[in-house]
Amino acid sequence: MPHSTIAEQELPPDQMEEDTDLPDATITKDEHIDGESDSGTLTDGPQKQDVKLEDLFNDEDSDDEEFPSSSAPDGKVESSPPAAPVQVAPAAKYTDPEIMLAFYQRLFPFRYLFQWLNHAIKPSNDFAHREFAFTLQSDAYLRYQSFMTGDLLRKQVLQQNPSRFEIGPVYSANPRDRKTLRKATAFRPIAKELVFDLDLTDYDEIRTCCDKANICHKCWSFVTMAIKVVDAALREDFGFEHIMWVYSGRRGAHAWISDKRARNMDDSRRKALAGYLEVVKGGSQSGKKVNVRRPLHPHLARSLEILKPYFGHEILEEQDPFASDKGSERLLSLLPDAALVAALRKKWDAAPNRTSTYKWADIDSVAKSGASKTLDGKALLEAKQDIVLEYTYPRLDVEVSKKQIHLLKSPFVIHPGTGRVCVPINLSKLEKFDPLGVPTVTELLGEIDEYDSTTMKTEEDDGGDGKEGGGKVTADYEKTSLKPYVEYFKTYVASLLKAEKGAVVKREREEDGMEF
Amino acid sequence: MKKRVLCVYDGPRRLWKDDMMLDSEHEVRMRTGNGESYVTDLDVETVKRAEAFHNATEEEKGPWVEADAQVDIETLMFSDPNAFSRAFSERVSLNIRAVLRRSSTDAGSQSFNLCFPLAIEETERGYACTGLPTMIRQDYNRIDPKRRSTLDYKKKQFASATFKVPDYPHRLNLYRLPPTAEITLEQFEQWAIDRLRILAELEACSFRNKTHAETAAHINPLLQKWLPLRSNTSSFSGAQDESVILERQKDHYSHFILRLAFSSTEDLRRRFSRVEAALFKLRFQNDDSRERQAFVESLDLDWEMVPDEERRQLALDLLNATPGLRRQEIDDGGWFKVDFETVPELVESRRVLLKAGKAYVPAREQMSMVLEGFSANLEDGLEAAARALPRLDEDDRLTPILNHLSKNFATPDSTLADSDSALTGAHFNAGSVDLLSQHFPLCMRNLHLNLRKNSHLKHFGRLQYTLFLKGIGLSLEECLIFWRHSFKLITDETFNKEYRYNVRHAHGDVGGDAIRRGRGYSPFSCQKILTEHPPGTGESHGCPYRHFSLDNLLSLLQATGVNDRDLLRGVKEDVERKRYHIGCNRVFDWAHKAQLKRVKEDGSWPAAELDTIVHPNTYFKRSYLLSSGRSAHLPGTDADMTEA
Repeated sequence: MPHSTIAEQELPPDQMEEDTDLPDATITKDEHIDGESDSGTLTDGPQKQDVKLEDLFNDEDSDDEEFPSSSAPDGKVESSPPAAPVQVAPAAKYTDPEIMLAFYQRLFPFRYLFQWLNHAIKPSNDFAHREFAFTLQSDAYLRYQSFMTGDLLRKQVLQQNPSRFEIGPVYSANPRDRKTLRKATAFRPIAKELVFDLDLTDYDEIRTCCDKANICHKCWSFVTMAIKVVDAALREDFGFEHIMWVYSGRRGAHAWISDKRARNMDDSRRKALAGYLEVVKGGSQSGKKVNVRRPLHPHLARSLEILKPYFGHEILEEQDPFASDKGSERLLSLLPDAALVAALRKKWDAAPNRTSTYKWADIDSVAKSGASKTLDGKALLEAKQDIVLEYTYPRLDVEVSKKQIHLLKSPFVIHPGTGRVCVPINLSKLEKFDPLGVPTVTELLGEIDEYDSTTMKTEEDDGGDGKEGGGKVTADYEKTSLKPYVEYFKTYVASLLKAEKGAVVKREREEDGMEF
Repeated sequence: MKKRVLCVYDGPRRLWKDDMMLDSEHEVRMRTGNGESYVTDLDVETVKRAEAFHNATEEEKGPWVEADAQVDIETLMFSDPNAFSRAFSERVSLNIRAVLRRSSTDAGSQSFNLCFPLAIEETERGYACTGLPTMIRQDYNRIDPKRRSTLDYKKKQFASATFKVPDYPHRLNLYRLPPTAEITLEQFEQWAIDRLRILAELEACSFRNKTHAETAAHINPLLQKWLPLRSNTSSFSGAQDESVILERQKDHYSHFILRLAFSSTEDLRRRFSRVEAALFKLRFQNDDSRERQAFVESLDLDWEMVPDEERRQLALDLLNATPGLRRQEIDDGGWFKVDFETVPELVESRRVLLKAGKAYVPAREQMSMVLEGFSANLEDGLEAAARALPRLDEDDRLTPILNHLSKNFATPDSTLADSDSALTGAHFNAGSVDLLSQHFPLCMRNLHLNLRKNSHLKHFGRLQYTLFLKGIGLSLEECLIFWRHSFKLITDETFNKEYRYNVRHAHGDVGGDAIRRGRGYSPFSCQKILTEHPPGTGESHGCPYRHFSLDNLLSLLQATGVNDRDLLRGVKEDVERKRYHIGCNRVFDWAHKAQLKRVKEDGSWPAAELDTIVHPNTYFKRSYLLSSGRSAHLPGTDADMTEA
């Protein structure tokens, strides 16, 4: 098997092109059917495709099935794990090679990943010149991997069984050939999805519930509000449409923006965009971290509207950041007017157990009571707005967004520390997303086995007709709680492909018009 | 094989030179008298040809052309081939093509390689520059296949090129078209040097953190002197005035010459486009407002006007998004709707309204857009020039000039000379860093304190500190020991896995191409620390003078033993006026008051060594030398100092 993989890779490019012409056609057809009846026919897709791919690649490798099914009746599953239940001890290490391999073989949606990165059904340089970086089980890090098609990526992943892999930019030449190029300048990144990285460790100063790598439902609401703010800005201000948010597997989220315009941005534009979204600035010593101009820029005014409700409940009540001495000192240092600050300090010193909600209300009441003669109401309002922003506004890791060449972990890989799958977050159900409820790899494999054993049982009860009756195979992911995530991804990719296809047709028509 | 070289002279003048070759196996030999020697057919042909020259009539010879006269090569060549050859035998033709390509962004099929028409010919008195422009069509694929065969490239090459002669209607220039006329070699060098003076001054200004007004005040008189550029209204005949055209021509040519000189490396390209953009900005602002408008309109930029209706609807958003705008201006001034990519500067600082990917830019912000257009155009051009540079069909006349020019673009910030940081006779190891840290500038002191406090530093902090330590002479091995000891809370395994590589990479021990990586990165200069990567949450790199709040800065200073009241007040003023490095130098001068006085008095330190400090490693070196009292009398360090 490994042999055949290598042989494929070493084909000269032109030969390779010919080779891939055929599968394109069939896959296109396949996809067409898929597109019409959306999800219903997907289940019989794999079987059809399986046959075609076998023919085309002349390859006995049944791994080529996109969604191999352990209950496939034809018994051609010798290389996927036996239909017998995979015995997974609950305490097994998540990155256990066996488990990882089973996950890649049976659950990882390579086809949609390929279409997502390729922006079309037919393999193109958008995918072939794309860098992948593998982190192997041995912790070795392999950069500049590239693959002509999604199937070849899958093969390599199954062969090397990486603990995770990352996605880089599309280069001007095939990354594997980079050392053979005559001139170093011929190899440069030309496109990549615009990405954002949110990490809860950046909130350590203001979150009181957890720190470092730990998270709970309370602090996840920081991510929820960040996603809302950034997503609104990207859609309304920048006009991007194809934005996918992905749970990073432990304590954060990534955004991938696949609009053509976003993909083609160069580093200076990315930097500008990151600067537009960055509000909370400064290191541990820089004092006030939000310094925004008045009147508030429409983006900030909108963000403030989104964030205000969160500040009342999620911040003041749940996080209670001003309860501690340190917290309340921080709050005082952000307020203007020395007399007001002195009055508040006196009040809070007298009542040490006051919660943040009360302290926040105290600011207004003390201000109204006339404790300070010099108080400027407008300055106080602005300071309060700044405080709301400091405690709620997204803290993006902007360095990630500034460079095309930055590698970011692929969606659907397993986070090695938690075993959770990096699943896309459905924005329409953003509030309900539960990071701690995201399935782990071991759970998923268990679910397949459970499903198989129960269906087997019912089939037996039906008198054995069940197998042939439907004639359809259930893809492994559909047996598990990963199903909604894969389906969300699928719809997302379909809408991207549609937009992309539309753009191509439009351009062709324009060119036609030019000629005549 | 036999080779024969034939030279025909008429007195001192060489009329003809030709090589003839014949395979000796096949030559026809005619025996002479005694039968021992022979002449070959080649000899016979040679003598015949020589005779043809000597016996030519005056008519056949054609007119004699003096060495320094301008020759119209084509006329000569096509009217009288003999005369042509003679003219060439007298002169050594140096056909220098400096290839300057037009920005490839204009429609693909139209991209030509314009070869810079410097056919420079050597005469007895020097060089004369005649034009032999050639125009090579790059993109053959676009030609209609039916017409392809009718193109005769040989003819094309000698066809007289038709260039549009620039008439410089505007004072400003986006430098989209390369120059095509003839200039002398002296002009070539002189113009470039004049422009370079200006650029160097501009860079020095940005380097000293001068404000825009200060820079303008400093540069304008220099511009008057070296690179004047007057407006159309300065002269009665406007843009037709000879001297105005000459000024604009000089500006145009010198720009393109420097483009060639600075296209060779990434670093040079970046610096060049940065200062050229600064120069353009300065001139743009000084321009007469009406002429500026005419210039902008001539650029034919793709800007869409915002219709009144839409503008009224968005009035409030426009007002809030665009700082420094009076309510009235919303209705009066024109508004453009452009792709947000065209105005990254405005987007980054949130000074513009964005809606669905379009930026709403008020007319007065057009500078930012024109500037963006200028930089984009220049960067394209520089890259094109860099790609064409290896093909520069040139001997040894232009290359030395170009190299010389790029070298003279002094680089005060980019690198620190090796010898500058290496202190003779001092051997630092991981253990001595604590002791040495009293000589560190505040930025490094802060990193050191944080490292000791948290036993950890984030990535940019590690990078800044590692490179600084490398700069003071800590070897890679010692540096690794230092970091291993400093990160007390982590295991060896984590250290080896996550941090060791970075340290080695900074030292140029691993990563990338072994030849290109050299000795790794150079230690960061103040400018780099001040301008790049401002520290974020939990990070402690950067410059405390700039990135700390004033209170935190003052308390850090006091914590490091700086407690002079006057001094702190001075530092505070500096920081408020954004002269961060002056504040740092002030602290340095205070800390070494006595020693500085001593070395100034006995003159043991050259003046260059008492300049403003603009590099953390210089700070350390001076502080260390002053305190150890070894100052400038050590052999080796003397040389270093003049270099610094």
